[in-house]
Amino acid sequence: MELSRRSLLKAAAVSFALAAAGCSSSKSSSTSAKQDSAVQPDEWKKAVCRFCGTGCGVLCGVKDGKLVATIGDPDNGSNKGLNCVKGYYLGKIMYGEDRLTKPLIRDDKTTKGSMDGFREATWDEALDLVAQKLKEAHAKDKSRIAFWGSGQMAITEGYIMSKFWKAGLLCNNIDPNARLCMASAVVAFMNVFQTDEPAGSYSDLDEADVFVTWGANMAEAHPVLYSRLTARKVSNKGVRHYDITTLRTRTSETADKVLLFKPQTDLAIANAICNYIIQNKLYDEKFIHDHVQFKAGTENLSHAYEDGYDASEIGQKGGDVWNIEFAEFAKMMSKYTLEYVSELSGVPASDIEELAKEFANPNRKVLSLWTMGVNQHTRGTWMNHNIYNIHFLVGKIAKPGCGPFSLTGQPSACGTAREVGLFSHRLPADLVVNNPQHRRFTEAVWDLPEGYLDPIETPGFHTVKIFRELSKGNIDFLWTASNNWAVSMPNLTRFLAKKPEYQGVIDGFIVVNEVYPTLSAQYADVVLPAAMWVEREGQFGNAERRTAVFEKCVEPMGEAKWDGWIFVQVAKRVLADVKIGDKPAFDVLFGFVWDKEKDDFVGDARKTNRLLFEEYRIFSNPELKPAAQAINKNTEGKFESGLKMENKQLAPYDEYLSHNGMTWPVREVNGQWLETKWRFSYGKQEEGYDQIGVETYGDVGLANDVSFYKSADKKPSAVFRPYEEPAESPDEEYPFWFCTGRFLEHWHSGSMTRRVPELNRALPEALLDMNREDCNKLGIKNGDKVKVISRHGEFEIKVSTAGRTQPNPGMVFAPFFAEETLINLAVHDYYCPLSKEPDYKKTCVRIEKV
Amino acid sequence: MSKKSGILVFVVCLFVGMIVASVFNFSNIFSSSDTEAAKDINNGEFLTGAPLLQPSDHEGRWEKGGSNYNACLVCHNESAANQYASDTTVPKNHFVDETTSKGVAPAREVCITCHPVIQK
Repeated sequence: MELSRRSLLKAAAVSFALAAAGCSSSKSSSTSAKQDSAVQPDEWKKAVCRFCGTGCGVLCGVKDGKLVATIGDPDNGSNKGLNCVKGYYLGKIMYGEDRLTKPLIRDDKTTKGSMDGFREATWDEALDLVAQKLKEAHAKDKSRIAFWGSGQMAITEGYIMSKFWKAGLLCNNIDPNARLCMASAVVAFMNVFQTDEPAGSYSDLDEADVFVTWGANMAEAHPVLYSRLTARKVSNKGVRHYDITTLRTRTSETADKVLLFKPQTDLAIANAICNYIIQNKLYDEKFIHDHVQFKAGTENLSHAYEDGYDASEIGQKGGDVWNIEFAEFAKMMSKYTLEYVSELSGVPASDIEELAKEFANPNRKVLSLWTMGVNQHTRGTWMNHNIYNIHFLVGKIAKPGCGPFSLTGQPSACGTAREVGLFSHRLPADLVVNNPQHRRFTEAVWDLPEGYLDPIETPGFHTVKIFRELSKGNIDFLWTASNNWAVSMPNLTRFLAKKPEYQGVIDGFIVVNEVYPTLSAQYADVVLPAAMWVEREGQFGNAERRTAVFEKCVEPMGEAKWDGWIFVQVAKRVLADVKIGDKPAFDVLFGFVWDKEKDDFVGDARKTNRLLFEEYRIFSNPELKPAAQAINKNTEGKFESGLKMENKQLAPYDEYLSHNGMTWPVREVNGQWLETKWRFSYGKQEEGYDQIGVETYGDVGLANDVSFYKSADKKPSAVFRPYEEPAESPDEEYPFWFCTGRFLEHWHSGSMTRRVPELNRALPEALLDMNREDCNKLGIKNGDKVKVISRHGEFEIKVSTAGRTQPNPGMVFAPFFAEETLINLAVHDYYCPLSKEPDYKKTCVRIEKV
Repeated sequence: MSKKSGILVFVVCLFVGMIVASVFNFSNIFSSSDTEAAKDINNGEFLTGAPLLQPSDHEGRWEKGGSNYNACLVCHNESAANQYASDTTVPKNHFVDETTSKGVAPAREVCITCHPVIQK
C-alpha cells in the first residue's frame, strides 16, 4: 500500500478528529478527550528507529522542545510508513523519570554494584579524570586499555572513536557489542565474498516464493520485515514458509513446515540439503563454473573453554582454508545423507527433502533469512558458510526475491560497527589492520605519515577476551558507550565479580556513557550522561545497507552531551602532548571539525555531522583524495592488486537527507545519486542493479547476470564445514537446553523500553518458557519460581507455560530484557573460534523449584 | 486451524459469552477496568500516533482467533465497534487505499505487532 507522507499525516489527523467526534457512546468520552488532547506537533523531522536492524524510518513530531509523536516514515524505503509497537512508542524513551543528566564520579570502588557511591560532578572534572586515567593506563601498557563500542552508536560517533583509538592511541583493543550478534556473519562474509554485507534488498521479501527462516524469530525480532513476509504469503498462493528452529515461536505460526531440530544440528541440515542437491545432480553447473570456488578448512576446533584457546595451536589454525575440487567437496558432503541427518537432528527426512527440492527448483525464488540462531553459535561462522553453500549450488543469490539474507540485529551494526570498522582487527570500509596496503590507504585518507599505523598491525582483544582479561585484573581502563554489558554479556557470574578469583570489574577503572542508571552504570567509576537518540543528529546503517540520517529534534536532557562531543573532549586532553609527524595529533585527527576557541565543534549538529561524514566517505570514494586513489588503484604497483574501495560507495551527506536513506553502493549517474538494491547483479542502475560495480570491476555476461567483482578471482568460496558437537550437551546433571533471546515489546536489556509504560505493561516480567510435560515431571506449575543452574552460574525466574515460545521437552527459553532476572549469569561464554561470537542459545542447565 | 473455522469458533464463543453474561447480569460484558487502562496508561500521556494496547481481558484472543486479524475485525469494525468495542474501530489508514471494503493492508495484518496485550 503506497502512502505518501502528506496523506499519512492527514490520515492521522483525521483519525483523531473522528475519534474526538465520539463515534459511539458516552463511555468513549474519556478516550476521545484523550485523543483530542493528543498533541499535534509544530513540525515533523526525519529519523530512524532506535531499535532493531530493520531500520524503520520514523517521523518525529516536535512541539515546544519535546517529542510528542513518532510514526512511520512513508518515504523511507525500508519500512514504507510502518513501525512495530516499539517504534510507535519511541517518543517516550527519552523521558523516563530516572534519566541521567549530570556526570557522576564514584570515589570508593567498594560501592560498585549500585548507584550509591556516586557524586555529581562538573563536566570538566569528569572529563579531566577520565582523560588522566586513560593517559596513565595507555602510557603504562596499551594492552591494558579497552573501548567497548556498539552497533547502536551513530556512524559519525564510531568514526570519531575509530580515529581516536586506532590512530590517536595506536591501540586495537576496541571492539563493538556487535561482536555478540553479527561477528559470525561478518567473518563468513569476508571468508566467502571478501566483502561484508548482504547482496539483497528488503524488496526481496515482497517477491520470494519460498521463505526459510533459520533459527530466526522474525515475528518478534524483525516485526516489520515479518509483516512483509506474511503480506507476501497471504496475497500469493503457493508461497511457502519453512521455519527451521529449535523451538516453536510466533514466527512458526506462518510456517507451512516447522523443522524442529536438535540444537547445533542446523549445520548438518544445511549440509543434507547440499548433499541432496549434489547427489541428484540438481545443481546449477553454469553458475558453479562461472562463480564458485570450493574449499575445505580446519576441523575439530574444540571449544574456547580456556582463556588460552586463541593462542593455542588449534586457535591459531582454526581459520585456515585451502582450495579443493568440486568432486572432493561432493565427497565430503556425501556423509550428510537424509537418513543420517534425520537421525542426528530429529527432523523428518521427508521435510529436509521437501526443502531441498524447493531450493533446487529453478522456478522457485528462495529467500533464506537468519540472525542470532545462526550467529550466536559455537560454529556460527560455519553455519553462515553452510547456508551460502546451498544458495551457491543452485545459483540463488543477488536476484530479486532470491538469495541468502543475513539479517542484522542492531540499528547500526552495519553502518557503524562493521562499515566504520570498530573491531579489534579492522579499519574502516572492510579494511583490516594486518594488511599493509590497507594501512597505507587509511594513512592516506587520514593524512598520517606513511607507516604510522604499522604499530597496530596485530589485532587486539575481541569482546569476550576484553571481559575475560578485565575479570582477571588485566584491564586497567575500560570505556563503554551505547551498550549495557553488565546485562548483555554472557557468563556474568564471572564478569560481574561474583567469584572471588574474578574481581577485575571492581578494580578496573570503568567509564560508562549512559542515559539511564543501568547495571553497567552501577559498575562504573565514572558515568557520563549522553544525549539520547534524536537529542543529537546521527546516522544508522541497517540490514539492507540503507544509510539514513536521524535529525536532531530536541535538546539533550539536563547536562547530557552528544557522545561525539565527549569522545573529542577526552581525545583533546589525552593527545595534548602527542604528535603525528611534526603536527599535534589532535589537530591532524580532529582539527577539521573542532574549534579550539569555542572548545566545541565548528558548527551546529548538521554541519559537524556533514564534515565528519564527508571525510569518512573518502574511504569508498577514493577519487576524492589522490594519495588514497593511488593506493586504491595500485598505480605504483607496490601491491598485488587494487582495492576496489568503491564497492561500498557512499553518497554525499545531504543525499541521505533528501532521499530518506539510501542503500549503498550509491552511484552518481548524470548528476543523480542512485542506490543499489542488488549488489553484484547486472542490470540498470536506475532500477537498483549494480550496473556500475559490475561494469567497472566485474564481468558482464556470466551465469545469472551476476559478477562477484570483490571476491578473489571474482569467485566466492563455498567452504565445506562439518557438523561438530556443541560446547555443552544435556546430561544427568544439566539435562535442559537453555535458549535465550528477545521478545517484541522490549529491546535488548530493556534500559529504554522498560521505561515506556505501555511497553512495560505489555511485557512486565521475564519468564522461563517451559514444556508442560517437563513441568509435570518436576512438579512445577505455571507461575512457580524456579532456580536455573548451569556450570557457570544461576538465577531465579518464574515459569510460564502460556506458550509465548513453545519449547519441546528438554528445552527452556527466557528473554534477557530484565535486569532483575539476570539470565546471563548462567549463560556460557564459549564462542565460535573464527568469529569469537559467544553462543547464547545452548547452555545446559538444571531446573530446581524454589 | 483454517481462517474460516477460526472465525466460526470465535463467533460461537462470543454468543456463548453473551448468554453467560446475560445470565450473570453484567451490564456490558466488554467493559473492564483494563479497557480503560489501555487508554489511560501513564496518567493519560497519550503519544500522538501510537497504537492502543489490548486490555488484559483480550489475553489469548489473537492466538484463539487463529492468529488472524479477521477475528479482531469481528468486533473492531465500523458498525460492530459502536456496540462492542467502544471507539476502537480499526482506523482507515489500516486498509488498502484507506478504503474499508478493500480489506486490511497485507503489511498490517499481524495486529499484535503494534497492539500487544497488557499483562495483568
